[in-house]
Amino acid sequence: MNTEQNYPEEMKIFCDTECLEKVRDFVRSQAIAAGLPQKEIGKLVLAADEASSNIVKHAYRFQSGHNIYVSWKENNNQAVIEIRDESDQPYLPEGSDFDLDTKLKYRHVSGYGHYMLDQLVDDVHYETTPGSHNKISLIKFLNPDAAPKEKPKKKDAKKQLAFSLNGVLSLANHLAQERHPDILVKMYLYGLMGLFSSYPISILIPKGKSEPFYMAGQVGLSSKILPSEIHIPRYGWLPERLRIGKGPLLAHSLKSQGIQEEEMSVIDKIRAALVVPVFLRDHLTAIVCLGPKKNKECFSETDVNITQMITVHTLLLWERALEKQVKKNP
Amino acid sequence: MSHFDVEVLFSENQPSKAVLRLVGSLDAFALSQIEKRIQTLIRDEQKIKLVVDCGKLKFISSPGLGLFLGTLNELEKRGGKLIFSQVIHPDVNDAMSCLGFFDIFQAYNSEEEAYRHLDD
Repeated sequence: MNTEQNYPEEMKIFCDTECLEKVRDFVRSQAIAAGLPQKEIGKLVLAADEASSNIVKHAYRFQSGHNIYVSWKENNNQAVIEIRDESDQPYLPEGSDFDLDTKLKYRHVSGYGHYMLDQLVDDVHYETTPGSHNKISLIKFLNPDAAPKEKPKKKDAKKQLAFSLNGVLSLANHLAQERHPDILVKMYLYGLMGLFSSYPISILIPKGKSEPFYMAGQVGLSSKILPSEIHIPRYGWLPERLRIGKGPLLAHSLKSQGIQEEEMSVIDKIRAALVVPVFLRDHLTAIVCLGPKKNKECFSETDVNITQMITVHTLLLWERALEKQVKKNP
Repeated sequence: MSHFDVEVLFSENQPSKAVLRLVGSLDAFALSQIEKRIQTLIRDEQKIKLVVDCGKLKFISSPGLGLFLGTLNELEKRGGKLIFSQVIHPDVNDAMSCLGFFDIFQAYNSEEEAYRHLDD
């Protein structure tokens, strides 16, 4: 370890097999310069490694040829380490139901990184800009005596998501009623990365021009809320191309693309003429469906744009909810 | 690559036992080195009682810790054991403590002492 190296406040690190060591050295040098006790330095170094490892693993999939930016800032008795990538893969922590005892009992081999981050630093923030970058901020009080006695409480992710979904409802309602009153919008949301169950959790159905959207069931509940005519064991019912494709799918154009009959029957079954799968970190998190237009016309580019807008907003809400998810303290 | 190495020792008189001496920093990139070695030890060489000596280990993160949990799981199914020795570096000790490792794994001050306890 070269503790005398004069690192800049921000360091660009090429993602290769040495990058984690470079991150550790950078953080160690800055922490020493900031006068942190040895024990706290070790915790910060480990936290920075954990955060960077997650970026390398989840955002970059261990592929070299990318950059990681690590910065060190000090203000108001806080050291803030920001670790940023340039990945278009959204990266957010998994699951709010972390139970260390259970994981240890069943000897789980992975999934400890975020728990450790929470234990090692005073606060952790996650920020994701889809298609651009992810950023993890690690906050440590330089003078522990001046730090708040309790860690800042994070909002309950489920409540936050339920609250945020109202925003999506309003948006979708506005779009459907004010601009395209003849479109039926269905939205199927899926449990994501342990935050909720792995079954569909909600269906949002506009009942028509005069009626507002309503949420059938509550966020976090199970498949009981599904309408009986739709059987969705996870998302195995979806045609393969919907699971793989990440763009909108126009049912009326599928026939010319040689769609299989059984695929078409599934689309007919869910009565969707336009389906937009919503992917986050390669997980299918939601499907936004537009039903047939009452005027029997094909969907226009504007219709597709509307659906995509709803999709993007839904995705952002998921991300925000995940960002705020609660980590249980032991 | 961040420096990490693993040395494996065993004697023909003790066919089920082995000692793994870890050296350097066991981070996410170094994981594959030890992962393959452990798999070979357990499955091909039938070593099911392991001492993992951390006397020269300077750093370990969650992937490495997870590996040992998974290894313990596999060893326990075969009636085996995994014991640590010389967890002396404060950062390694803190990382293991953070996950409550010492409630699960036995740890001894020396490799010899740990080796003796493999038959307990």
